[in-house]
This record gives sequence, C-alpha cells and structure tokens, in this order.
Amino acid sequence: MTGMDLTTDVLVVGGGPAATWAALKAAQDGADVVLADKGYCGTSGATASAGTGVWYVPPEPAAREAAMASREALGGFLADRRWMTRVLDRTYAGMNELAAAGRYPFPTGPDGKQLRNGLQGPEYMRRMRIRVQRAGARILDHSPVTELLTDPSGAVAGARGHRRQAGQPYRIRAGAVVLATGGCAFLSGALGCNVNTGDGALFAAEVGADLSGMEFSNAYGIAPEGTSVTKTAFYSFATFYREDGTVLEGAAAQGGRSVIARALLDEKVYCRLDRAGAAARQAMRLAQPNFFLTFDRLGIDPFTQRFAVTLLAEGTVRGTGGIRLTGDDCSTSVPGLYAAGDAATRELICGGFTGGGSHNAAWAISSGTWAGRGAARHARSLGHRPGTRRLMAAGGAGLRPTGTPGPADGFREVVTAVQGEVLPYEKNYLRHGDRLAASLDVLDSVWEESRASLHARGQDTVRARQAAAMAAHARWMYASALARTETRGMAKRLDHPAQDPQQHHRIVTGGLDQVWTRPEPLTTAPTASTAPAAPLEVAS
Amino acid sequence: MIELVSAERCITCDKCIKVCPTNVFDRGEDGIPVLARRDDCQTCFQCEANCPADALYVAPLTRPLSDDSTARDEEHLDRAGLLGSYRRHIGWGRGRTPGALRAVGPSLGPPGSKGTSPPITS
Repeated sequence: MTGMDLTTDVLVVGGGPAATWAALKAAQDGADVVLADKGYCGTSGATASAGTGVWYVPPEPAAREAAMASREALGGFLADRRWMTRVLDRTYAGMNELAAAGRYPFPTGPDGKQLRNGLQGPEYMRRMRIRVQRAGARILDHSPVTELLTDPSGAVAGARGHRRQAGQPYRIRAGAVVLATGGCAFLSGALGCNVNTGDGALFAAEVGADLSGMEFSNAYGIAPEGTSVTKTAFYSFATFYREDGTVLEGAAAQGGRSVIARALLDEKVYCRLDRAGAAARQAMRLAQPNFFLTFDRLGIDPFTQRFAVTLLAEGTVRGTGGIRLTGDDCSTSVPGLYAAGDAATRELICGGFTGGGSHNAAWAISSGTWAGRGAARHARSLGHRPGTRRLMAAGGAGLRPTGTPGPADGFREVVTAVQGEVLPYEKNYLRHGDRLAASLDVLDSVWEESRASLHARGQDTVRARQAAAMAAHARWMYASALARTETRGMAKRLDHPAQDPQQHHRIVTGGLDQVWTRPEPLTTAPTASTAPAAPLEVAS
Repeated sequence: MIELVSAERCITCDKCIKVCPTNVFDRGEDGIPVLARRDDCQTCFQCEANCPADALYVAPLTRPLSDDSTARDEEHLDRAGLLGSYRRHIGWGRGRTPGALRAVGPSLGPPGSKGTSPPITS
C-alpha cells in the first residue's frame, strides 16, 4: 500500500481523556502503543475545551454510599453498584496519580488540602498528552481512523485511516484496538464536540459489536444564543425570562430544561444569572474562565443583563449510551476490541442519566485504564501473530458503496438530513412515539441511500464516514427510544410519561442495514425498582 | 469562530496549525497560517489558548462576522484587552500562574445552602 504502515501491540483510537488513560496504562504495562486521533491529542473533544468536574470521592464508607445513592433514582435504577464501586476506587487512584505523577496544579481548599474533584480542560489534557508521550506511546495527530481491520476469525487486528495533514493513508496492524472516540453530538456546535461524530460506534458495529442504552441520548446543553459554550453548571444561578421580561415559570437549568426547550419552539428565551452573590460571581470566574469568554467578548454582564439562550444537542456525549461492554477489562463481544470513555455505555455507573462531567470524567479515567490494560494483555496473549495475520477491511457505508457512487460531496446532504431528525427539540428532546417512528423512517432511507452511494476521496473520506456514523447513531437512538415505552432516566416519552416496573432492564441495539433491539436483564438484583419515579430533570 | 490571524504578531511557529482539533488552518506561503477550512471552526478557543504570540482572535459567535466587524480589528481588540485574554485567564505563558491553581468554584447548591461542590463542573 502507499502511505504509512505500522505494527503495534495496542492501537488506541481517539485523543481525549479515555484515550490518553488507555494509551498511558497500556504503555506502562509494557505494550507498544499507537494513539491515533482525528484531531490533536490535547485539544480534541469535549473535556479539553469545556473542563469537567470529577466523581472523586474519598474512600470513606458513608461518602461512597451517598455518592452511589445520589444518582440511582435519576438514572432509573439501571446502574450497577459493583461497577460504581470499582469506578470510584479507580477514579480516586487516577486523580491522585494525576496530582503526583502528572503534577496537575489542583487548587487548595479552605482546609489546606487540594481539591481534586475538578479539572480545567486545557491544563488536564496537555498534561495527559505529555504523560502518554513520556510513557513511550506514539501519537498520530490529525489521523482519523476510517475503518477497522479484522483477521479471518473476525477478531479485530488493526485499522486503516487517513493522515489529513500529510495527505496520505495509513494502516496499523495491532494486537488489540481500544475505541475511545467519544460520543456523538451530531456536529451541533456544542463546545469541543464537533470531533465527536460517533465514529467508534460505527466501527464497532461493522465488526459485530453491539450497543446499549442508546435511548439515553437526548442531552441538550444551555449556551448563549449563537455561541458554542455549552457549560451549564452556572445556570443554576439563572432566572429565565420571556421576551416581554416576565419570568418563564418552571424553567431551570436543573429540573426545568424541557420548559426552556418547549418555549424555544415558539419564542426567544432570555436568561440572567441574577441569583449569584458577589462571592459566587468571583468564584465562577476563577473556576471556569471559558464560561466568561462569550460574555466578555459580546460585552454582556451576565449577572445584570439579560441575554438570549439556546439549547445545543449533546447526544451521547452527555447521554449515557454507547458500545456494550462484556468484561471488567472493557472488552466487547468482539475479540481484540475494547471500548472506553463516552464511546462505551456509561449505564454501568449512572444508568439512564449523566448530565456530563463528573461521572463521565470518572468513567473516562477508569474505563480508559481498564481498556488499555486489557488490550495490552490481549496483545501479549497473541505472541508474534499480530504482525502476520491476514487482514480484512470491515468498513462499509461511506467507503464501499454497494450501488452507483454518488457525488463526491454527498456527505453534506447526509449530515443535513440526519441533523434534521436529531437536533430539533420537538423530535429528540420532547420525544413522542409518533414522531420517533416518523424520524426513524426518514433515517432508515437516509441510511439505505448512503449505503448504496455515499463515498468520498482523500481527506473527505473521513467526512463521508462521519456522516455514515451519524446516520447509524441516530437510528440506534430512535430504535431504542421506541423500544422503551415508558419514561426512565433521560429517556422520556410524552406518550408514556410514567416509569414502568416491567421495563426495568437495559436495551441493547445494533445492526446496520437492519437495526434491531432487545431487552437485557440487569445482572445484579434490583436495588430499588419499587421506588417512586425519578424527578424529571437535573442538569450538570 | 476564528476571525483574526494577526500577520504582525504571528511568529510562524505553526502551533495553531498543529493543535486545531478540526484542522482549520493551513500554512500560507509566507508562513502565516491561513483559514483554509474556516467552516470547520467549532469555536473551542484552543488555538488562542495555545498561541504564544497572542496573534489569534476567536469571536464567540459560531457564524462568520462581516469584514468590518470589530472582531477583525486588531487595534480595537488590543485596546479592549481581548487579544490573548483566554491565555491570560488560564494562566498559560511564561511567568504566569496556572489558572487551575485558583479554580475554586462557588457552591452550586440551592441559594443559601452551604453544600460543597466541585470547583469545576461541565
């Protein structure tokens, strides 16, 4: 082949927190590691730009118990206590390691101790990049993977991609592959999320892996109108208003975001952070300087002036659905394939609700660590075989059209069509069975046409694959949402507003040309299935 | 969206070309980065954070502004203290203190509550 040809033990796909933890831990275990990121490892993804709280809880039984109990109802009792326990343990160790070995400059709290439950994005991710490099892993920036490669047995054996700044293709033989490509925000423009187009889920499905929790995929973040900064935590200090200055009753960042969505269908919604006192205002600036970029640059004082807001889709970035895991080492149902971070389902620790940050950040550290180590172990078990296996290309839609190839920029139309079904509040946020079914029909034909004709060349290959990934993602989301005929976690149905004890299970989905769903019973005993339904909304 | 690349300030270090997660820049013939794929800009401010010369300006609006916008007026941005302001706020650059060291946020509980909360949340 032309282009770069490499052989490695572990290939990590992605460049955010989960990818860097995976690459670091695989390399520390003695594996040869290549990390291939679509963008630049250190700035790519939601965390690097937004920053994040972390589910960091000291190992005191009462604190741990409270931490686990706090979100169980919100998540519709679909989380798993055993996984929560091991993620809390792993996250505690990982954050302490970041302080010691990573020298992250944590702030000091009033008691003189470091506060280790939050991270500024740029600082965190630049340090993780350095740690990955120091551990000996090789980083390929601007090198999106376009498809996985398998051996004749169906085990994952590497990947192909495109080095977009070098303008050449590449191929990597690998003993094992970790998919840490993030969730899918459908190019909505949410902060840092335009690299998160669900590519990993498509790659996984193409080699036969399945997904879980895809109905938990309708997260929307608040941003000042026309901007990208979907950081919602500080909107807990907000009052929301109508155009005429009257208060929009029931609207809130937490427990009232759907009121904002409903209002935005017909009118503008305004906001003022008028419930923040002087001390809080000052602390907010220090904690999240990026939150104030928009306001300072637009000349708005958010504490005293009203500003228009919007809601941007964050799909499975702040949702919880993703690739289904089958082992404690974050393995999947396909040998040699591991998944971590937002690319994997987070139901194990938060059920049907996350809200972003916190649990997702803890999950990235933990699942990244386990997936990296698991992949290294798997690669070792293969001995010298990874360098000699016969490779087969797994990629379909966007790469190898089954019919007459369409125009070279056909991906644009596909992206627009998918966005038309997943971004509107009345379709994805305020879900109703009739509208979900109508959207799924549209998306099925988008897929069918894409499979037949979508293709592109060179750098645009990546765009075609992103479009295909978004179409696939949307179909798994809506098929799962239709299969859950109740309201649980963030998967709310206007036509089924109550939680149904008979549906206290997970929903697994998969398939490409034919999308399927099936219920999956919880492995652990239900903890509180008879408890009252969760409050409808909480923000991050 | 990225609105300004200051040819005057740029030291042609290629850093923005390297770090932009959506590959917006190409190296121009004179070494100054050009906005080759501006439509792909996701307004994440990472290029600004990483520019050692404070030569870039990202406007908060995600759609391009008109040519006569103040967001493209280097003198105006300089006077207003906006050039390099993100980098300053996160404490990046020689002699600065990392902003992360001071990142202690407000309590996010209901007004009046004394609950502790993470210093940074999403």
